[in-house]
Amino acid sequence: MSFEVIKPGPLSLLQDRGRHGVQHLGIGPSGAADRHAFAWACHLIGNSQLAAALEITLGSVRLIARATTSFALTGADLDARIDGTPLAPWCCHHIHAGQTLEFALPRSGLRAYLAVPGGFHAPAVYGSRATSVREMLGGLHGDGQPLKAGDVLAFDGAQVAPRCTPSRFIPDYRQELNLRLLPGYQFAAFCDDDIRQLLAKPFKVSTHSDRMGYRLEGCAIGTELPGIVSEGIAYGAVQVPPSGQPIVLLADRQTIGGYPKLGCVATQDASMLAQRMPGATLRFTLANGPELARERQQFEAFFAAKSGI
Amino acid sequence: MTLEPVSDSACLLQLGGQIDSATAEQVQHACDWVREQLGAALIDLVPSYTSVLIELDPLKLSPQQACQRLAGLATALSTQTRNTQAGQRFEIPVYYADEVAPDLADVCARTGLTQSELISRHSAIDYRVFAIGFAPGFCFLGSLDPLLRLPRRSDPRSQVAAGSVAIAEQQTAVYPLATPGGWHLIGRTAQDMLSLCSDPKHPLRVGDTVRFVPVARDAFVNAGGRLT
Repeated sequence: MSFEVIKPGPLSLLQDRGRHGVQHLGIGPSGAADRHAFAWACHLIGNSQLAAALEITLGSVRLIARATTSFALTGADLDARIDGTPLAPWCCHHIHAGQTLEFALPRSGLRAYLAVPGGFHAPAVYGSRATSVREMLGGLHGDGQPLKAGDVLAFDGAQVAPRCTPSRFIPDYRQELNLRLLPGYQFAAFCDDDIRQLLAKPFKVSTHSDRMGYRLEGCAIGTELPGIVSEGIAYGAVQVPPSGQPIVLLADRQTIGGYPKLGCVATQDASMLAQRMPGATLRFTLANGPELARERQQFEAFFAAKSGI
Repeated sequence: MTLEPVSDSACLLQLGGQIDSATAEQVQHACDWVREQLGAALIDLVPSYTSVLIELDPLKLSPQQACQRLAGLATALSTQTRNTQAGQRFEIPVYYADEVAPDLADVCARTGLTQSELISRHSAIDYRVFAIGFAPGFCFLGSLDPLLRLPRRSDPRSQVAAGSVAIAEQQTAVYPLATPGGWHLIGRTAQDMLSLCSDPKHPLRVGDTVRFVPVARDAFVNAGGRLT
């Protein structure tokens, strides 16, 4: 059972929950940029988060089904259609052999997740099928390459009972985003005025944003701070280079780095950030550590109970 | 020493502000101890010069719980340091020549050393692996002979050939992949660094030592080294 790639789009990547246990080798975790939409795609189709789904960035993708199967679609609204018929977002669907599944341009959000029963087949590289373009690891052929025209996405396939994500779990990516920051790392090295600015002023997503990190544009903070001894970078870390413009580090981040950091934003908020286009506005608020940890634990437990890890 | 939550699923352990061998040894001991204490609750452990990032499985342990469970770390470190275990020593063959090292002549000119002096100084020291990062298998090695220390290039290259042996400030390294880079390229190795780091039995780890061994062109090429 397979999808044949007719049009690969600008950046379509196999992703799973990411590589665990190899960051000490310098290998980044990678994995789905939006953990929330990815987890729902896995859940709707009955997969664990170890199974590979397709992360479609910006759309412009055309696939032909080579057999009849179910699939789940979550994340950005890329105007998905089967043979021209629009599909409800955040739901499971059926497609018949020979039909075309097509994605146009984003109407809301940036990245859609396409999950199939059992996950797409690809070699596990350091325990994961996640594609890391920069590291030349993982993906369909194991070499970190994005999808190309002519690729064949094989999977076991099955018919799955149709179901949808309850609407209360479907985010509106057009809303102004609030990034809840857990103060940590070098937070105390920033002066009070920097922190006041950070919390008072809105920031805009820069055009230089990708799966590695989202650069923000706004008031410059911490420009006088010296570099630090390179240290491990956690998911969602907010680093401030000498320009004073913060960068939120995401799935494709480097494992270690030497810029001062304000702390990390909640995993959920980092997922929402990964759906924002350049120009989107956001604000920072300070968060409480135990509260964020509890929220994260509940998120993981919800999906682990339903689909297994 | 400080240990605190830095995200909804990670803690950072800071073991000092100085880059030196004593701190590096503590980092290594702390990694072993944390791994033992946290077991399956640990997802990733990222050691660097003076710190260790501890990434947790949120289903098993919150960062707050992990900090509590690791409260005995200071005591454990002070007792462990007394029976320091020697790390492993790795030898990396290097072909030092202009045809594979575009900065060799420039580094000689700027340091005032002849090419053979430069090669013998670079290959005369056991370097410690202070950190692994930047790219898969990229080992930050120190400390470089003071006579070889130069600031990074003012115009970083957009592409450095895989296997390039490089120096900058007090450090030296091998670029394991073709990546952008601002260090000075003085040689090239056929050794795949990532495979050394991910060896299932005896992986190269932070705290181990590395020695560069000069080899001739034939040996480099026969080992799979690329001249282009």
